[in-house]
Amino acid sequence: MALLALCALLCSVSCKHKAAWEEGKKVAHFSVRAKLGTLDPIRSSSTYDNEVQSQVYEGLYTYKYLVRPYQLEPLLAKALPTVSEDGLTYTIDIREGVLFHDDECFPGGAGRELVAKDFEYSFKRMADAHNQPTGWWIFQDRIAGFDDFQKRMSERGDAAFDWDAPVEGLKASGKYQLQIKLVRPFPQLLYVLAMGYSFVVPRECAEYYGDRFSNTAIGTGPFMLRTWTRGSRIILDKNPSYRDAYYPSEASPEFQDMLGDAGKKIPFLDAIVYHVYEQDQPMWLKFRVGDLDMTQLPAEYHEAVFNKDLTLRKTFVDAGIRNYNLPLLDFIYRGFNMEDPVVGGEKNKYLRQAISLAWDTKELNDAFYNNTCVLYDAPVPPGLDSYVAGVTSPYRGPDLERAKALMVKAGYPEGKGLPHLLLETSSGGNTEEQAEMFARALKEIGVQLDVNINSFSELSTKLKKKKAQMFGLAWGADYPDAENFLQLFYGPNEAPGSNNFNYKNPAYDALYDQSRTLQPGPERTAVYQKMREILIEDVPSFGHLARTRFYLWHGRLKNVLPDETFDGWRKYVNIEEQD
Amino acid sequence: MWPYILRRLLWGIPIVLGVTFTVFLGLHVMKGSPGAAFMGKAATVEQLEKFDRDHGFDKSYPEQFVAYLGEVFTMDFGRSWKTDRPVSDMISEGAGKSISLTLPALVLTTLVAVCLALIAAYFRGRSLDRGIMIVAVVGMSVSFLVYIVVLQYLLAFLFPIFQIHGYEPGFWERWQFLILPILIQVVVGMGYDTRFYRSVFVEEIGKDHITTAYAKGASQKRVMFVHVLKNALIPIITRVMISIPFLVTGSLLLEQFFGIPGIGSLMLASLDTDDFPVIKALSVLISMLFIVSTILNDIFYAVVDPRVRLK
Amino acid sequence: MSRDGFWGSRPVRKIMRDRWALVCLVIISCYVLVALAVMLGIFDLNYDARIGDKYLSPSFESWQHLLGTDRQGRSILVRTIYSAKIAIGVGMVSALVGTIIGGILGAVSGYHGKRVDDFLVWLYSTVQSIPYLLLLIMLTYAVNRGIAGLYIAFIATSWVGPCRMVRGEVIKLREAEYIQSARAMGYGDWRIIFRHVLPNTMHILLVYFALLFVAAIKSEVIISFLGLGVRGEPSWGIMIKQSQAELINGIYWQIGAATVAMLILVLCFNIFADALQDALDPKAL
Repeated sequence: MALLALCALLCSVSCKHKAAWEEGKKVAHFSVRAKLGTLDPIRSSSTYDNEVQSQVYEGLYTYKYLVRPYQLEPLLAKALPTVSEDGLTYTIDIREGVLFHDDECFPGGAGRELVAKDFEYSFKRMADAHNQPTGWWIFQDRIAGFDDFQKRMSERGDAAFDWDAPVEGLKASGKYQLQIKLVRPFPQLLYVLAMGYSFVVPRECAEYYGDRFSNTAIGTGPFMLRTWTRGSRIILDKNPSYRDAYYPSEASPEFQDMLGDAGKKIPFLDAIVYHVYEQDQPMWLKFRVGDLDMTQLPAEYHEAVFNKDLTLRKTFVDAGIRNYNLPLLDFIYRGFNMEDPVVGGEKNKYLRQAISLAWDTKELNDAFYNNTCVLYDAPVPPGLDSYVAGVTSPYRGPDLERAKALMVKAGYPEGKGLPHLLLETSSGGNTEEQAEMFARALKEIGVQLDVNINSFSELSTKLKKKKAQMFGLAWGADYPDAENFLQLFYGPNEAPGSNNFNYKNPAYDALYDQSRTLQPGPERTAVYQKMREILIEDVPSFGHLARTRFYLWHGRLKNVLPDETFDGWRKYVNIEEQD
Repeated sequence: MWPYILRRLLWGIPIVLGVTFTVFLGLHVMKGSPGAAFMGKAATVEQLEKFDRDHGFDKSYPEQFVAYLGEVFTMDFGRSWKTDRPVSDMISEGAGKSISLTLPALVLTTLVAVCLALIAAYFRGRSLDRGIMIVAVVGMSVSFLVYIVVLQYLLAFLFPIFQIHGYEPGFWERWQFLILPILIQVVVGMGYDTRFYRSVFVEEIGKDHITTAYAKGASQKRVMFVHVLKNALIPIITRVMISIPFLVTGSLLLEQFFGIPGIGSLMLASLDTDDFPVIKALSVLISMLFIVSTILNDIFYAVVDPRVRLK
Repeated sequence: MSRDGFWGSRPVRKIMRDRWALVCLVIISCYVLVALAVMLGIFDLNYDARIGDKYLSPSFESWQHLLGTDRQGRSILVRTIYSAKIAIGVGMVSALVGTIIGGILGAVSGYHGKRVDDFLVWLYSTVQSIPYLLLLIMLTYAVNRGIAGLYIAFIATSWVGPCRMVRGEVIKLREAEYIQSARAMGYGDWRIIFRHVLPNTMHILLVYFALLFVAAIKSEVIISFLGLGVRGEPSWGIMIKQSQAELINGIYWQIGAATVAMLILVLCFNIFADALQDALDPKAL
C-alpha cells in the first residue's frame, strides 16, 4: 500500500507528460510502429525509415499535397525537366540558394549551398555496394554508362572507389543543372526521382561520418535531427534556414476546405517527436490519452472505432478525433512458382484455377481486415490509371463446384494423387492465422496444404533461389504507376529479380516491351488490358487485395492529408494555438 | 583463495568456447549469410556476393570460426550491420536501461517475498500461511503476457496512475516510466520467491539451535528475526546472486510493451533482422556473465564455509 | 525412501492425507484424459469450423457457444479444450525427457566423476549460459519452426536443472555405505546406478517433473507470442496471442478462457508439487 501511495505521489508530480522544452512551441507527436533501422536514404528498408528521412532530406521532385490523382511537382528542381525529342535526355535545373543543415562536417559548421554535383554524388552512392543500397534497382539498366560504372567500381574494391570517374548518362552540366541520359525511354524516371532513394546528401558529411553516416541526417529538408534515442524516439527540430516555401493554393475539389493556410510560409511545426512502438496496445492507449497526436489505427481496434460504413464512431467524433481512410496502392497476393513441377507451367493451369476458385478472399477480408480491403483481380490496384473497376475474373472464389470440376480436369479428382502443397509465408502480424484459413479452404477441394513460416530474409532467399512452391507476399507501390506492378510478371525479371513467380509468357513479355516506352494514357491502358487478361487466365497469383490504412488524429492538428506515396507532407501540418 | 579463483576462472574458458561454437553453428552453418535481408527486395546476385565477401561468408567454416574466436578474444565485435554503430555502445546503452528496470524489481521482489515468507513460516500451517501461499501460487500461474496487457490497460489507461509507455534517459526522469513495469515484474516474480524462502525458513525453524533458543526462553518474534533470518541469509544471497545475469538480459516482454530500449528488445531486434555482430556479442557476453556470477557464488560459499576450498 | 511397498510408503500416505493435493491430482488427471482423448481422436473436435459470426459473446445457444467465438467465428470452447493436447504434450515431453535424461546424466556424472563428470558439467554449463531466447531461435532454424522445434527446444534445455541437482545428490550418495558394499560385491556400474543410485534421487526427479511441466506450459505462451510456437492448431499460447489486442475492446472471452484453463492446470501442478516436496523431502530444492 505504501508502495502504491509512493507511486501515486511520484506520478502526480510527473504524469502530465510534457517536456519543459515543449512549452509555448508547436510540437507534434507521431508514432512509428517498428524500430527505425537507418537514416541513410539509400539504405532505407521500411516505410518508417522513409517517413523520418523524408522530413530531413529532399529530392528533386515530389507530389502535390492536395491533388489526387497524384501529380508531380518540383521540390529541389526549379521546374519539371526538359526532355529531348527521343525521350532519352533529361535536363533538370536545380533551385539556387538552397542550404544544407548546419553541421560540423562543413567547414565552419555552416551548411553549404546545394549544387547539381550533389545529386551526381548521391546517385553514385547507390553504385557502391559497401553502402548496402536497397534501391540500386531504380537506376539499374536505365542510365547510360551507370551499370558499367557500378561494375568497374565494385571490381576495384571499397578503397579505390573513384567518385569522380565520369558516368556518361549522369553529370552536372552546370553548377545548377543536372543531365540524365537514359539507355531507353523510361517514362517513370520522374517518379523514381521523387522516391526516398533519390534524396540528396552532402558529400562532405557522408565522408566525414563514414560508416556512422546512417546515424546522422544532414539534408536540405524542413526539419533537422536533434536527437535519436535508439529504440525509443527521435526528435526533429524546425530547420531555421529553410528556404522560402509556402503552403499550396491548389487543391482537388474534395480538399478545397484545406486551403486555409494557403500562401503561408512552411513548416508550421517547431518540432516533431517520433515515438517508437513495438506493440499495438501502448501505441493505441497513448493516442487515446492524447500524448500522440496522430497514429495509424491497428487492425484489432478497428471495430471499436469505426462504424460498418467506415465512418468514425460518435464517441470518437465527439472526442475531437478526425480520420482519413487512405486507400493504399497495395498488392497482397498468394502466388505460385511457375517453374514448380506440381503447380507451375501451362499444364498445371487448371490446378491453379481450382485453388483460386476454392479461396474466399472476402472471408479473409472480413476476418482480418474488417472488410476494409478492396478485392481486385489483376495486379493493378485501384487508384491507378489502368485499373478497371467492376470486371471480375472468372476464377475468383469461392465457387467450390467449379473448383472441384477443375480439379478433375487437372487430373486430381478430389485431390487424389496430388502431393501436399507447401505455402511459404513470412512471420508476423496474423499471417499464421491467415494461413490456417487458407489451408482450411483448400481442404474443401481435397488439396492438402502445409504451411511454412519464415523470417523475411528466409522467405526472400527462398524466392531468389526459386525454392518456394507457393508463397504469400505484399508488394507496395514504389510509385503511382501500373508499370510498377506489371513488371512483377515480366519474364526477364525472373528470380533473383522481382518476378518471384518466374512467370514467362512470350505474349505477355512482348506486350510489356511494347508498353515500356509509352507515356500513361489510353494507348498504354489498352495494352495493359491485354496483359491483364493473360494474367487472369494463367493465374500465377490470386486472392489480390489492396488495403486501406486508417489515420486518426486529434483535432488540434490542422492541414492533415495522410499519404504514403510520399512522406514529406508533415511540413504542411499545423497545430492550433493553445489558449 | 586466489588459486581457487584462478582455477574457477580457467574453468570458464571451455564454457565460453562451447557457447561460441554453438552460436557459430547456429548462425554461420545452419542459417548462413543473411545478405538478402540487408540488400532489399531488388538485390542483385553481385550485390549479395559482395555482401558475403565483405562479411567473410565466402571463407571456409574453420576460417570463419577463427575470425569469431578472434572477436571474442579481443572483445571487439565491430559494428552492427543494421545500425552501423559499435556493438559495444549498443550493448552498454541497453544494459543500463535493462538494469534500471530489473535491479529495483529484484530488490523489491526479494524484500516483499522475504517478508511474506517470514509471516507464512511464522504462522505455518494456519490460515494466514495458506492464504499467502495460495496468492503466491495463483499469482505465478497466470501468464506474464496477460499481466502486462491487463495491468497496462487498467493502471495506466483506465485509472491513469502510471505512464503507459516511454522512456527518458535522465536518471530521475526515467522512473515515472519504470514504476509500472517494475511492479508487474514484482507481482510475477513474487510467487516463486515467497515459496522458496518459506521453505528455507521452515527448514531453519526445524533445526536444533532454534529449538535451543526457544528452550532458553527467547521470544518467538526474536527467534524468528534474529536466528532464523540470520541463518537463512546464505540461501537468500545465493538466490539473488544467481539472478545477476538476468538483470542484464532484461525482460523482453516488458521492454516491448513499455518502450524501454533495453537488452531484451535489442536481442529480439537483432535476431529478427539477422544482425549477426550483435547476436554474437550478446550471447558471448551473457554467457560470461553467467560464469562470473557462478564463480562469485562459489567464492561466497568458500568465504562462508572454508572447507569448500579444499575440494 | 522407505521400502514397505509403494502405497504403504510414508510419502504416499502423507499425500493421500492431503485433501488439496488429491483434488489437484484429480484435476490434473482430467486434463491428461482430455488431452489423451483429443490426441486419440476420441473427441471429434473441429477446432477450425465456423459456428457463427465473429466475436459472439458467450451464450447458451449450443454447447459450442458457451464461451463465444473468435475473430474467425470459431468456437472458443472447442479450441480451449483442444489446446489441452498441446499443453499436456509439451509439458509431458519436456518433463519426462528432461527428468529421464537429466537424471541419468546427472547420476552418471556424479557417480563416475573425472572426465565424464568434467564433460557433462561443461555441457550443461554451456547450455545454461546461452540466452534461452537465442537458443530457441537457433533451434528453430535447425529443425524448422512449429511443434518439432518447440519440443526439441524444451528437451534441449529442460534436462539441465535435474542433471545438476541429481549430480550433487549422487556425489553425496557415492560414499554411502550401501553403495560401497554394492561395489564390493562386484556389481557393474550401470546396475549400481539404476538399482541403487537413481531410486534414491527420486524425490528430486519427481519435484522437477512438476516444475518442468509448469515451466513448459508457461513458456509455450511466450514462444507463441514471438511466433515460434505450434502451427496450424490451437494452443493456449496461440489463443492468448491472437486475442491480447481484443481485450481493450471488451472482448475478454478468448483471452479469459485460455488464461483460466491454463491457470487451473498450472495451479494444480504447483500445489501438487508443493505437497509432493513436503512429503518426499522437506528440504528445499
